[in-house]
Amino acid sequence: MINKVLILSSLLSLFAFGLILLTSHCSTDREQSLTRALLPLPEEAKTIDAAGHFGGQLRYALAGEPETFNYVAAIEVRSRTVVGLTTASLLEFNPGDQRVADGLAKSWEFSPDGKELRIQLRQGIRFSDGEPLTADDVLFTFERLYDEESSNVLKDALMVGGEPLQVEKVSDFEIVIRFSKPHGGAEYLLSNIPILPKHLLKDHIKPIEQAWTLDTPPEDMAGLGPFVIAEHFPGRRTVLRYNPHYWKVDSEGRRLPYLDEIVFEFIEDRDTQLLRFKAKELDILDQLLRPDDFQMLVGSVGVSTEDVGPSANLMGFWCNLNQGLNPETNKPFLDPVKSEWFQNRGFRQALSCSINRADIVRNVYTGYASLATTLIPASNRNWHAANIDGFQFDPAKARQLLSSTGFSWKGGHGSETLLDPAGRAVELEILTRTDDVAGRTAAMIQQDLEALGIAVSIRQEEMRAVIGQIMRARDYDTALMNMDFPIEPSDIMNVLSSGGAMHVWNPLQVRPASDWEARIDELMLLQGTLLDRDRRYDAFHEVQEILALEVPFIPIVNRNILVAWQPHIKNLRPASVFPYGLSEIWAVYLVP
Amino acid sequence: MIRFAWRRALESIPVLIVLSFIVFGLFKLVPGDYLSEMELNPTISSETVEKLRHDYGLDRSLPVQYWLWLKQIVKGDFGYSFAQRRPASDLVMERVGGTLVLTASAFSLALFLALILGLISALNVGRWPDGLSLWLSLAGLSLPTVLASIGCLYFAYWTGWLPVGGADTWRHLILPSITLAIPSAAFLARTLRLELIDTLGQPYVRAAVAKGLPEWRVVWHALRNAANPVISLAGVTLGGLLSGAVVVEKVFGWPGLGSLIVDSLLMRDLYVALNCVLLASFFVIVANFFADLLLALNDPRVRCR
Repeated sequence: MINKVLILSSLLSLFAFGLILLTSHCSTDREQSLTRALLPLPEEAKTIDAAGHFGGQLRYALAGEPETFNYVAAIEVRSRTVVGLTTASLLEFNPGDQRVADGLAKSWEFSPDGKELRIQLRQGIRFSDGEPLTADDVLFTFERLYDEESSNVLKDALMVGGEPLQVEKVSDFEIVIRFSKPHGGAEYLLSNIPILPKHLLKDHIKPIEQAWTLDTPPEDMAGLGPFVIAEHFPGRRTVLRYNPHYWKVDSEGRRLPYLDEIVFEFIEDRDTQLLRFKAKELDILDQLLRPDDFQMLVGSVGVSTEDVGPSANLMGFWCNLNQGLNPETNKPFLDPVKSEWFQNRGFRQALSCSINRADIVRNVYTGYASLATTLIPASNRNWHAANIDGFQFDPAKARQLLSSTGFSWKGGHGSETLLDPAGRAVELEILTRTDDVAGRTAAMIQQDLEALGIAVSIRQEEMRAVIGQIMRARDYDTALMNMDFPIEPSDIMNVLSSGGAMHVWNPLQVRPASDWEARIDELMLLQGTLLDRDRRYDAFHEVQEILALEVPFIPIVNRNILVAWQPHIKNLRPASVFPYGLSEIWAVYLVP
Repeated sequence: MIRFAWRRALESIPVLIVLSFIVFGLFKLVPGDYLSEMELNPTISSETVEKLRHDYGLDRSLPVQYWLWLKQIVKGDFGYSFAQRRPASDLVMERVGGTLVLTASAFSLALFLALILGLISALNVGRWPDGLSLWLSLAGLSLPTVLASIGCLYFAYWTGWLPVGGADTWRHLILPSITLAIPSAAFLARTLRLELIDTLGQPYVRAAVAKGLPEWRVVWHALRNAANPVISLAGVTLGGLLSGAVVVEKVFGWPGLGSLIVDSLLMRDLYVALNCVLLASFFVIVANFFADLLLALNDPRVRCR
């Protein structure tokens, strides 16, 4: 009896569960489109060449929660993606044509000696809470960024020639910025400084980067970007709503942005992201889209896709060029025998010639990556040196380079061993992070180097451990890592100058360890002080030539930016530089 | 009873202290810290990183850092999230509700399924319902949580009956709860089956049947006697549910402690990780305490002890 009741009750439970599923499916929770406030337009609004429809919501996946709502504290890409849409700068970097254009400033002019920049602000611009923007807000921003107590992420970039910029108010809508010496990257630098609302932050006594955390009420924050933070649900999503006071208008003189809301959903798992995109619960996938998934989406019905081209994310391989002693053990950081090989330019060139980048692009990136020839990707139209080929894949040349520097081989074909000039077998270890792409790339390089007779092992460690090894412990042979390179040469100073902490092959040198590093230091300082674009290009081109010849860093591939979106989203202008699919978001609209 | 609760609470303090020290030690043993990733940013100088390291106290030795943290706790300050620049306890409290809801729902589901499957099996030993129930529980035990989670997501995607991840309505809770409940339900069902088979074979049960007691009353008596090990194990299972929640929360995008633990460990956000681990351990201790209480309620012999 009880047996039958049990079986029957379990069947009934199953049936009830099914019923719940079916009935719950019928409910809908679509939000109503918002009605746009009718507020007077700024006297000097910026006109954008666009025409679209107003309203609607864009749903975008982030790999996790942002860390802050304060651009000045935003280090990682999630915060920068969200907060970047709520701020604006004096000048604007356009990801499409990669030029700096007018922003909050309607015009700007350098003095003949290049040390003074006179800026006229647009009149009639208001923060998202309705307060007007004046020169006082600009002055306040610089004052708080230079605050001694502050460790904000923009402070270092704002030190030109080791000195802070002097910002002076001429009138409510005119300021003058003085540089201790001419700065070639001045315009780009200003395009990265968000202007903060003095009226909201003047009473914040702590360092500025500690303001506006995730629990700050949205009404206590305001910005000049196309959107404002509207709601934040910890661990779930952040909702941005249009800024009713935004200062850009479309071709018909209507205030942008077209979208009512952008919803950032925090979805860490890539499979879940893809499924939610396919289930039309997400509208765009870009930074997080894997090449295999992109390939599957290409040609799918009801999905738009674009391979935007190489990003500034470069997979690079380098030998440890540290020759110093470890102060703790008083022993060399690196085995002197290996150090001898790595200091040999011919050896480094041969390593570069032995790596088959095309195979890596095909096998690791399913074809969605681009061969790298210099540190600067081909998509960086301003600074990439197109005529430099570097030491590309050429096994015969690799052998020739090694022979000419005294290396030899023993053993027959297929089981050869490379011997150094002293007859020692060449063996090395590749240090890389525990990441699928890095691991597979390391395995491909291992295969290529073994074909040259080098015994190679791979050591994979968690990223922070790898950084610790490279920057401090320095006890590694070779390293493979992907890094994001900024698009402005002055921002790469820390990597290229010999004293830089990110001069990964031999960081923080007291004085340049080699003549070519000394020359790079000289050229990097020079390009920083030149205002003439062509002369800057020439100086930076020479830097790229030296790097290509000396090969301290072997550029392997640049990952391509892949974007997929739902076809009802129009006027999307994906770019190969940040913020990728969300570039020029004010002009994006939905088909009703 | 109150003395029993006090004793258990006091016993848990050294456990939590040792655990916090282990987490602290592990953080220090692994190279790199929260600021390591910042060192890869070409626009930030090493001086800025070092200043931050000093401000955050990351340049201090392990015992000093630990001692300062213990002193802070006495003042009610559980540390600071490096990433979010606000109190670590705030972050943890924002997420704890999510994990509690998910774990409670998964635990109830696991108990319900275990009871049904265990009873069906034990009352039909050797027949097809027993075989089916055994097979189901074996499958449930063998199925890795990640695979079950992804399988459930595909189910939601293909049928369109349920949302693919997220955490807004009760519908979002269904699939994560099922995924999380499967292994625990299977484990508890098998234990209950064995205990019940053993109890139903006891002379006093046969005597009760011979005296003509209704079947449901016989089974009820047997169930109460067979329940002791299951109740103890259920307390332990709750700990397993919390660790399973780490995977399930990640895959389904459920905002709970699990995903916060993983993120803070990966980012080396020391005090957030520490708060999460301690709170999760506290839950396990509380769950075991309640299991002991239930045991006492169910079995008068335990009460006498």
